[in-house]
Amino acid sequence: MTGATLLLALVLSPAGWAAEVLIQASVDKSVVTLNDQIVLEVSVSGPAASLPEPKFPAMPNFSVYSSGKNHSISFVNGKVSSTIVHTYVLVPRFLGKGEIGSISLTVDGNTVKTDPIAIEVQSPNAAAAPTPGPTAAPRPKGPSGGRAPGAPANAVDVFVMADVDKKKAFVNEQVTLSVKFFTGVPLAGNPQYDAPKMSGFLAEDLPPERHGEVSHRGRTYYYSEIKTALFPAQAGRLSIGPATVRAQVQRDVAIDPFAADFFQRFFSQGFAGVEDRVLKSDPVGVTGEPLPTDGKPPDFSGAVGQFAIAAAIDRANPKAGDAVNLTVTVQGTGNIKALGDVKIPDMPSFRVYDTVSSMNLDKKNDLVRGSKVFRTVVVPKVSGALSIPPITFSYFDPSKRQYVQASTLPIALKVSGGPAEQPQPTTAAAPTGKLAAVSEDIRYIKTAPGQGGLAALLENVGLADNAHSIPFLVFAVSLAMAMRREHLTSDPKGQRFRSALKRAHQRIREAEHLAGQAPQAAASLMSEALLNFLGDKLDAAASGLTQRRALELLKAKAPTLAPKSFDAVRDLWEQLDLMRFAPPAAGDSAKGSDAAARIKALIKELDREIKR
Amino acid sequence: MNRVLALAALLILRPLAAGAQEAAAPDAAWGGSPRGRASGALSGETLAAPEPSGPVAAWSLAAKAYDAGDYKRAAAIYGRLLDDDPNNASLHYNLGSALFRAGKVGRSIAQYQRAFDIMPRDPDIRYNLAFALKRAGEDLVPVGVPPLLHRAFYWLSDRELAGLHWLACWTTLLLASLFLLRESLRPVLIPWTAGAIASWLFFGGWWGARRLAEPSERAVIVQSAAEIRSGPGENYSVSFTVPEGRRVEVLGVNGQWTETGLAKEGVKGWILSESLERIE
Repeated sequence: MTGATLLLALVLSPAGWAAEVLIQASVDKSVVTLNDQIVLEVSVSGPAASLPEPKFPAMPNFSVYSSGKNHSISFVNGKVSSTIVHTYVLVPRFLGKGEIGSISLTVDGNTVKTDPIAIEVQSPNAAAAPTPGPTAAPRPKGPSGGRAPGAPANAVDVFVMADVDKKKAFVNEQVTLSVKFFTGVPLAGNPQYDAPKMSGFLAEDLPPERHGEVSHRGRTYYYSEIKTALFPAQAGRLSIGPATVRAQVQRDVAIDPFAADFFQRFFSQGFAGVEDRVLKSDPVGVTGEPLPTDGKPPDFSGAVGQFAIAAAIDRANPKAGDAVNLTVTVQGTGNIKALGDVKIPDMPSFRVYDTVSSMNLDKKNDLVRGSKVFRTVVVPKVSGALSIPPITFSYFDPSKRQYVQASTLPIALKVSGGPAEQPQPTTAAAPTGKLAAVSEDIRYIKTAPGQGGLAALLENVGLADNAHSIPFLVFAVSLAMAMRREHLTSDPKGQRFRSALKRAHQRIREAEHLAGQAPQAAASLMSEALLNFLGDKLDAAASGLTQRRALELLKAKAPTLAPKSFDAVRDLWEQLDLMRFAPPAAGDSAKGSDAAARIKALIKELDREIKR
Repeated sequence: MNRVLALAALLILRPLAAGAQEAAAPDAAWGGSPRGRASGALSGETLAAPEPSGPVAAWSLAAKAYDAGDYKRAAAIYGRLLDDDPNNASLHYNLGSALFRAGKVGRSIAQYQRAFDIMPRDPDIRYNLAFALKRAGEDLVPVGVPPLLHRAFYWLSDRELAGLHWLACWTTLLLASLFLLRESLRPVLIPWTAGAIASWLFFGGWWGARRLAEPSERAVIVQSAAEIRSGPGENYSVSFTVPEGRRVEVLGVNGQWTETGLAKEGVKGWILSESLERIE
């Protein structure tokens, strides 16, 4: 920035990272004329990717327009740092001395403020060299803000022009595109800008937006200008589409103060005199020239512009095995983002590790420039006087139309041997008997597959997704069984009632087996089966149960039982008693089988009819 | 009863076999075979690795190539071996070492990380991962964490922890079932069941803590000074650059772009997917 610059750097609270956050505010000039503008830059930097937004005071004496912000973040050795530069254009609305109030920033609850910046605004006539009067919402001079006296009647009120600073450029050479919006009439609002479509270019914005005044075909126009740096990505005919501006302009309606309808026209112009305009610039063509193949250095990686290269180390007298940081900086004018890596030459005396790069961009005077820093670690393997050879960087200089190879100077190191002045970067025994690390390296590879055993088994268990449900299932079944058992145990009568049929069938089966050999014993078992069944079902002791009592209880418990069933109980009871106590006779076996069948049918029916 | 046992055995053994098959073919999950990753890491060069007669010969051949400084060839052979044995920590470790020697720090860290995931208590794997991470500006043991605690926390792999957790779970449930069904055994079963429950809680808690401590989807930056943008496209501005080898969390995918987060710095952004190697 030119002119008076006021720089304020404030350190915030010492607690945490807030202690390292900086805020800076600067203006490009502190003395301006009324129709001039001030560019205010507020920079916030700190060791974090996300930084707080600065708070601005009320500035009624200025029209404030944001001109964008630039956020850069870098990582170096795992540490992050970032800087956000907010750019604003301020147009003064007063004459005399004033100030831009303190800009504040709050971090971790601590608030700090920059000092106010004094501004003096002079009358345009008082200024020695008046500058064109810009405003973000221009209002041209002249009666009623319309066409200037004497201006050609066919001159357009608003228009857009796009142009480039060169029609031919080498691949990756900067071409500056300028889009200007001219207006000769008052605008009803801020115009809206749509950037042109571009194919075959890499683009970089060139803030801030400029404003000015220019005379065109005898008429005074105010203009706003947006610039963009373009870098042709390929050779051939490349096109830049039309830039579009949408604006609302006041209709050019002349009002005669002496006319009969003066008031009607005056107010109607105020409410209905706005017209929407969509303005487009003409497309612009650029020819991308291919880079010459003759004389192209082997290490050329596509850099176009003017560059210089420098190298430095952080220690000149290391020990063998010590890490030395080698920093190579390429800086200059051109597309910094497209710079390829710098090739570190072979250095047999060093172990060279990977390179990490960071980048800084600057766009002063509408030129993209900056630097790219490559950092690598080199470890001297041997002691003695060593040298880092020149590191080269090749680029194409479009002004000379030839390739240039920049080179660093050799860097000398004096490496002391330390405990072992040998070219073997291994761990050696120091004279004291202690081990001294000479260098660090990864460990050797494994010569056998290894692994398996318990670890593999555990891994397979972990992968057995479906099998995991089985133990839960087993547990659920066990729980259900235990609960059922608990339930049965707590209700002996119910258990007796429910198991009556099962136990009766068991006795009957035993009786059937005995029927052929011991009919009386079989009859006893069947009688026991019937009595126990009735006792279990009717909740009575089988031992003392008489036929009469059994029938009474049966009638009470199963009132819907058919009379023939009562008869069947009675008959069966008596038949079994007869078989048990009468002397054995032929045919008892057949009677026993018949009784077994009858008792089975009877208890099946009774089991169905007797409800608990 | 026998039929129930046979069914249970079938149900247990089938998933185990399926798990083994799954473990042997993780290529789909990784979006390419280990060989492909190794070849991709050394793109631009022909990797005409020979066809050794068997794994033992291949191991020997790879070691010879490594010793001779032909790291690309060694990496190619280890990559082929990983096709058949993708869960072999030693192979991931060796491939990582070959890639590291070949200058591919990011891809070597990805392999070391896989080896570490499988066999975290191996001292060589731990050392090389820490060494390579340091090159990328990252520490294996986070600042403020005692190294011994970190070593203990990562003594077992995730799968081993899962296996122990499920074994303890099975034991607990089976002992509890016995406890419910056999009243006579209850006095004997009480201490065993209590121990099983404690083991289940311990390993389950450890496993859960490990899953919480690590991102669900991880990746490693494999491109030098990779650019992280504010959106999924070249038209979005570059927010910051990340050195090769940094481990990042994968937050989402949009076409060729992957949203990544760096927990340490508390930032996130979009990066070309080809600049990452995902670790699953």
